Amino acid sequence: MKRPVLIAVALTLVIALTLPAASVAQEEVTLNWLEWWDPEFSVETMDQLVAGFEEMYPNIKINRTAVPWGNMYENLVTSAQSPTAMYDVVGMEWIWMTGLDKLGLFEDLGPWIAQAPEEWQAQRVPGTAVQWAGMTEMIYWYILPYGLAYNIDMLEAAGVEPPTNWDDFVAAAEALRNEDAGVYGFAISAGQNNSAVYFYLADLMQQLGGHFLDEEGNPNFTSPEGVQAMEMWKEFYDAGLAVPGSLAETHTSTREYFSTGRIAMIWDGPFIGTIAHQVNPDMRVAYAPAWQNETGGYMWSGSGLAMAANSEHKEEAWLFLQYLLSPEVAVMMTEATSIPYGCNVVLDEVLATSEDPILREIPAMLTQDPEYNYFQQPIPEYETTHDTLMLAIQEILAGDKSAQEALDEAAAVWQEEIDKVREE
Amino acid sequence: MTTRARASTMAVPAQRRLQSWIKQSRGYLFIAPAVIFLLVVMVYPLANVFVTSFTQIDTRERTQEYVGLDNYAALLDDSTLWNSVRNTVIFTAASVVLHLLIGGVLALLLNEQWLSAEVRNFTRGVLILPWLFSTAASALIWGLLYHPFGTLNYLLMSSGLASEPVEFLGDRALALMSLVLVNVWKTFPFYMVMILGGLQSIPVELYEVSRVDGAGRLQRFRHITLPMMRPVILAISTIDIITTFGHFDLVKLMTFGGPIRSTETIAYYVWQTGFRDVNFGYGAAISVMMVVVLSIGVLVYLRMFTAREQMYGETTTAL
Repeated sequence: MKRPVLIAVALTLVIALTLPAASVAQEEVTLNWLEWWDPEFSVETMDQLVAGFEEMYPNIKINRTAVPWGNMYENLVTSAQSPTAMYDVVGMEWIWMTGLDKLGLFEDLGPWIAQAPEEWQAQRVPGTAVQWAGMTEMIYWYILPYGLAYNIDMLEAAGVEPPTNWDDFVAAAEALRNEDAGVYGFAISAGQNNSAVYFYLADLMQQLGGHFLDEEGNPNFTSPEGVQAMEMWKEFYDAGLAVPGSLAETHTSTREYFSTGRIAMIWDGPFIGTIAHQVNPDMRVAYAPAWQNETGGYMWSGSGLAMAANSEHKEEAWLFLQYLLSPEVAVMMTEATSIPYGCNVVLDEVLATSEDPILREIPAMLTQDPEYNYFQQPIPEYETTHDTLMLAIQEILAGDKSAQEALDEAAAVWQEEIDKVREE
Repeated sequence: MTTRARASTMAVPAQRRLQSWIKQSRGYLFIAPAVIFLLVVMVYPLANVFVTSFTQIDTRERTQEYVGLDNYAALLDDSTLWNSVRNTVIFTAASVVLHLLIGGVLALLLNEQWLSAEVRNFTRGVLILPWLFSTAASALIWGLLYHPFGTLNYLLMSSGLASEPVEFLGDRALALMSLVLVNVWKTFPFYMVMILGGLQSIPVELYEVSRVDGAGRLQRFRHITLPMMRPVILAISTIDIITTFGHFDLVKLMTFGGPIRSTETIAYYVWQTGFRDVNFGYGAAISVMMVVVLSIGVLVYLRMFTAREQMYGETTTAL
């Protein structure tokens, strides 16, 4: 699709979105939007985004509240328990869904999607409407793989080629380590459950030919591939190739290391480029070419948007969601943030022709071994299950338990929580 | 007697009763605002937590089901809870001892007359500084100091005391004591000031008389300072035990209870269970257990102190 066609599609959608607005928002309405993207995407980008909507719907004002990602869940819990919505539209992660669902936070977006213009629906990437408990509770705004990003200058200075498999990665970490200067190739953030579970266990075991969950959605990380993945990380950790302090390391501090040149490589989403540039605008960051170990599978995730069930302005909130999820916004945000937004036009046109050193690698990650791609999905009792698995990973790295023993114990907890939901 | 006169004589006792009631009730009316305030902010929440501990709440349906002692029975088998109890006891004991020790030593030094008033005032002002920092700021400062690339590791490694970075927060053998150190640094000034106030209230004549009697410095400390300071020490150590036992902030800000649950305290576990996992009934049961354990601990502590005082024939006036 060429640029003029893109513009035509966008304009059509703008008109399609504007017409139904005639029936709503005759009086000025203020929507409260809770999100965490200001520091990641820049305040200017977010302001521009909101301004675009307010220009389109002059009677709807957006009151944007940006909080750090780490404080989002508490804010959402508080909002869900309020009799009237503190926020109408909220940024959402799949990891929070099961907990917030228990509090009745979510408006079922299924009926809203069904009545949206067909052109809009056709642009949505399949699978981006995330379901839980029989409802569509979140729509992915952007989708992304977690892969190995590297500091181009540091690798060039060390004469290291970007790794494309585990062995190259270990060799690169050895070559880049300079303990006297406090510089390492890599840091393991095993003190934070999400990164510990997915960046280190899930991603590698999918690359080794395993599946993090089996076809029925049961935990499968006790498989030989899961055990092997953890043994490989244990060996890496014991060899002192990671920054000391892995067991207490959060991914936020790992990103600080990367942004400040303490480490040369990081396992992260495509937004790592934007994050690093906020600290060091001159840093050149790229994704390593798509990895191939036993397989070329990647773990995919994303962040999304949801509507509060207790919102008093649902029609206006849906208009705002439709706008945020429109191809026009997807193209704008993909170009502004180097993250693929979940519209077909982005995957078909923007990524395929991108010269961005991060974005250009994503199509291969998605297509090289789709059978071994793992798309993150809601897991019951997220914090309990993932804390248990993080604890297992810490115990493995510390040498308290074998990989098989620790993973078996964690899997039992996962299975118990999953079975509870099935019984309900 | 006419009807009117009879009514008048009956009205007099009624009026007197009313006046008497108002007179008697006046005191209650004066304290009513404070009592209502306490009922609303203390009694009601405590009673609510107690009732909640016998229930299972379905937050989606907003229903509350009575489950009897199930939540309390579950406490017994919860190894994570008992690990957090152990951590809390260690954290509290170490913090209280170090608060009293450091606060006491510094207070004694600041109370010495051989230091000029200017030096004492200046030193006191500097030593109070950590108390002025918020917990979040303290956590940030110490997070940077403890960092593998931080100042402490730089000093340790450059002085040859360590060959590789010490993982203050990443090593489970060190993490809890590292948090204790931050807590001690943050709040020792309070205890120092309180002890100093107590020291300055001891009559100087006692020391003068003892000097005349030939008592040395150590004897004066043992037989005058310590007994006279006992009520103050009792009061501040009780306050310290209560506040430290419910400590949450530093754990949440610095370690998230890790690594491998080595810094998970009861308060942090209550937050995890009740707020994060949205299991209010069980969280309330842990809270009730925490209050009971703490109350028993404090009562035993007070009883031990009081018994000791009775043995010495002294009275406690501070509490």
